[in-house]
Amino acid sequence: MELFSFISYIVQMAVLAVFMFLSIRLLLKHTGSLTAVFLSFIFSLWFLADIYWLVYDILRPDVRMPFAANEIGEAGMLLMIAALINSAVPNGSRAAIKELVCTVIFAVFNVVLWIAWSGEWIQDIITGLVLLWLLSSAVCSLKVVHALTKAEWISFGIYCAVLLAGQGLTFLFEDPVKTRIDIGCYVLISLGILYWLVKLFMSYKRDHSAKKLMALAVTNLAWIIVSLFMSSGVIYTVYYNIETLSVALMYIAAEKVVKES
Amino acid sequence: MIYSENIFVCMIVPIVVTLVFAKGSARRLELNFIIGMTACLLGAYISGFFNAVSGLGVEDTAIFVSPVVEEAMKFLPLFFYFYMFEPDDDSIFLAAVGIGAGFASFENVCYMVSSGAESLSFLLIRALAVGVMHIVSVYASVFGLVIARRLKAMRISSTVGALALSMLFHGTYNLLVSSPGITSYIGFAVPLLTAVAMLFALRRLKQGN
Repeated sequence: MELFSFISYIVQMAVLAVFMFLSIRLLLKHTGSLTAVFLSFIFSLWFLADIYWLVYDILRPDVRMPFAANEIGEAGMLLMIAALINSAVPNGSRAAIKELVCTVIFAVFNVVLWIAWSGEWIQDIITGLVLLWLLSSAVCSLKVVHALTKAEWISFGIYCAVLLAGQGLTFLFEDPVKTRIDIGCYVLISLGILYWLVKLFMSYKRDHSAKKLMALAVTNLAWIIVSLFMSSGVIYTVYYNIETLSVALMYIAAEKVVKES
Repeated sequence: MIYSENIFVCMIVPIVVTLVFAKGSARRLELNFIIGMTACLLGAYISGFFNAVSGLGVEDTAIFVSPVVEEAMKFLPLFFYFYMFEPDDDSIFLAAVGIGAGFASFENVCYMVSSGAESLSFLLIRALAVGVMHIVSVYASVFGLVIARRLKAMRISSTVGALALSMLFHGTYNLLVSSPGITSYIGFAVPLLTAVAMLFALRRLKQGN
């Protein structure tokens, strides 16, 4: 394992350990809070999945991991993040039919691309289904709290379509065109990450409601998870560090939801 | 190769006999102990099947497949009990402990038969770690069921999330102890530390309620 990615893993594990402790403490203070329960489960699952991955990498370097308990744990974690946002911002599915259809298409195309990349059918389909549930929940919550304008929804839809088309094109071309398309896709993905982060920070700055913050924080995290699935190498590690930051932002938003409820 | 079915029969016969004399929660605990041993035996069959089908090898099957299969096997009877009989929280936790203890006991006996029982100190460490690990993991999955019922929301997410947590916990333990040295010592310590943390958290939760 490279030093940069190893340090990133350790940093994320340390951050997750702290938030696992804080979320359990939050649960002990607010015993009836559904959000606190889910938060504790999310951080416990995430922390254990990271430990599993790290131990595997130390014990069996350079050996590809088969379908293992950490992937089930990660699927459970994504499911829990979806449950977290559904509990904090409920009743959104009817308000976002068009957006949900687009989300399904986006998730299906993602799964097709993952399978084309890795050839791991079962893992990719299971992860895809769970990710679809998470993305749908995030989209519904955004709709409920009116986090995006109509123009933003349309722009983001076009952006996703262009990104998927770019990713698909990498299979059709050989180097050097393939590398250029890859770089273009990374620029697009990074712009997406930046967009959600800026939107979330602006929301914090303007002191928006806890529900709106929560919707944006979960969407930001979901987008980074999607971005991680689309990337590799050094850029993966960079996104991984942004994911660590997003974990902290999600905790802050969730804590606000728990305290306000 | 060991004749695990023979060991199973020899172990459950005395417990079945005592079922006649035991009453109330003692009888339920014994019954769940037997269910735990049965789940262990069936889990071994299923893991063996996956080993043959996937070609992973015995060691890799034990590390990657067994945690998933074993946790599912422990969870299924509890899931059935929970939704068919709607027991109170104490009863379901008692059932979980019985199943976890039965599972761990049968696994320990089979391990001793196959690997020898010369080193008491190692067996003691292993028995403590495995015993506590199985009880902690099944307790965590039942915790999800209880939460789902208490909060009356997100039942599927809570149940699947808690089951995933127990599988991951078990998988991490198996991975850690798969290699000799410092990682195995950490692996043996993890269940005990988790059990202490869980007991502390549960006590605080009960005080909060």
